[in-house]
Order: sequence, then structure tokens, then C-alpha cells
Amino acid sequence: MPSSRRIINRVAEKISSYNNLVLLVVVTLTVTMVLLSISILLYRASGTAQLDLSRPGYENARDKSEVVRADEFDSTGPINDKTLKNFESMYDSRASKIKSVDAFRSEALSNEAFNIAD
Amino acid sequence: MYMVRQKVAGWARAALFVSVAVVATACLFAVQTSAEDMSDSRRDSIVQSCDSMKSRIKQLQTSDASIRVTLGQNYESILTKLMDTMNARLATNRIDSGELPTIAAEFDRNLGYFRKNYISYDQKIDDLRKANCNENPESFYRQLESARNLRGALRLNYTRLNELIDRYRAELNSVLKGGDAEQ
Repeated sequence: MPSSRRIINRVAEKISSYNNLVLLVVVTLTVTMVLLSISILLYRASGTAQLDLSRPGYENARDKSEVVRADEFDSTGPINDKTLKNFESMYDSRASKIKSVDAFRSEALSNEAFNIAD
Repeated sequence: MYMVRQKVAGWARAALFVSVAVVATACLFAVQTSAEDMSDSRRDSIVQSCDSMKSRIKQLQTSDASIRVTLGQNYESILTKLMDTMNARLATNRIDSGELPTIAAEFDRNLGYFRKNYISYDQKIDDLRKANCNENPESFYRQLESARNLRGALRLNYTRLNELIDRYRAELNSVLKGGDAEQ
């Protein structure tokens, strides 16, 4: 085979393998972007975003939130005064924490709160 | 006959198109009219307080997020670690649990509503925070009213869940007293 043809063939092989490499990179990036988009959609739609206090701007919320102790009441065992007192103590503790919050009152979004005139 | 039917079909399509256009125009006019109904004082106060409102909304969003996490953890704990386990324990001890499983199921259902409503509310607050209250106070106020409705729904969920917590407690006392009486 003439040497020029050999050179042309070699260059064509290199270009072909270079094109394959570029194609591989483009396909990988595309697949990554698609999967990332799906993940972000799920993150927002599933409600995880609303529970994620690690987001920027939520430092105050992180400081205020407390870790809930994993009190467990065993599903097996006797029902007697001691176990009932134990249950009531855990139950009332949770209930009082919930009620002390007095959450989502309407005043927070009222016209008065925002100084909006009538 | 075919030509007549073609003509009638053509007229019907044209009439449908015209009626849709008229209705759409009327709706647009109605929206614009309701936007123009906002008083000047309200519009001015929104524009003047725009920055402070945005700051307040951001604070509210942060505070609500913390409350949501606290409530979510405690509700989950009450349902899975207390209500469900107590119901199972009563069954193990062959004690009639009365309405307790029903109350626990209703609690679970309302907890689902709470979660779903919070997602909508948080997204609305996000939209509100991004809305341009300087250039479009009418649109901002509409979004604010929408956020109020969603917050009201959350408040209802919260109240209902608290009622169910009290009801479960009362029913448990009733069940155990009834069990004692039988013994």
C-alpha cells in the first residue's frame, strides 16, 4: 500500500477513535443530566426538599430543630400499671411538644403583619 | 347533501372558534378588572413595603421549615412508636382495642394530608418570595391570598391531628377501664 494511503488510513483511524471518544463523552453527559434532572424533580415533588434543613439560608432552622429521642414502646409484653405509666409519659411528652408549637396561625400572613393597607 | 353537511360543519367550527375566543377575552377582561379593583392605598403599601415583606416571608419560610420538621418527627413517633405498638400490644394481650385502630388509621390518613398540603404551601411561599411586588403588586397580592388559603388548610390539618391525639388518649383510658371492669 502506498505510504500516503497508509498515512491517510492512520489519520482516519485516529479521527474515528477521537469521534468515538467525543460521542462517549456527550452521551455520558446527556445521561448524567437526564438522571440529575429526574433526581431533582423527585427531591422537590416528594416533599424531601421541605424537610431538608441543610439548604442554604436555613441555618436558623437547623439551630432551632431538635433531635427527637427514639422512645419506643414495645409491641409485646404485659399491660400493667408500670407499662401504662411508661406509655402515658412518652405519649404526653410528644403531645405537649406538638401542642406547644401552635403552628401555622393565620396572623403570620395577614395584611397587618405585612403592613398592607385596605 | 354532502356539500350541505360540509358547509354546516364549517359554520359549526367557526362558531365554536368564535365562542371560545369570546369566552377567553371575557375571562382576560375579568382578571384585568379584578386586578384593577385593588385600591391605590393597598397597591402603594405593597410597593412601599416590598423589601420588608420579602424579608418577612423568608423568615416565615425558615421558621415554618423548622416547625414542619419538629411536627413531622413527633407525629411519626406518636403514630409508629406509640399508637401502632400499643394497638399491637393490646392485641397480644387479647384486650379489645375498641376504636383505637380506627383512630390510628385516621391519624395516618390525616398525616398524609398534612404532608401533601405542606408541599403545596411551601411551593406557594417560594413563588411568593420570588414574585415582583414592585412591578406587579396585584399579582403578588393574589399569590399572598393563595398562600393564606394553603396555610389555613395546614392549620386545619394540625388541629385535626391534635384532636386525634387527644381522642386516642381518651379512648385508651376507656378501653383499659372497660378491660378492668370485665376482669
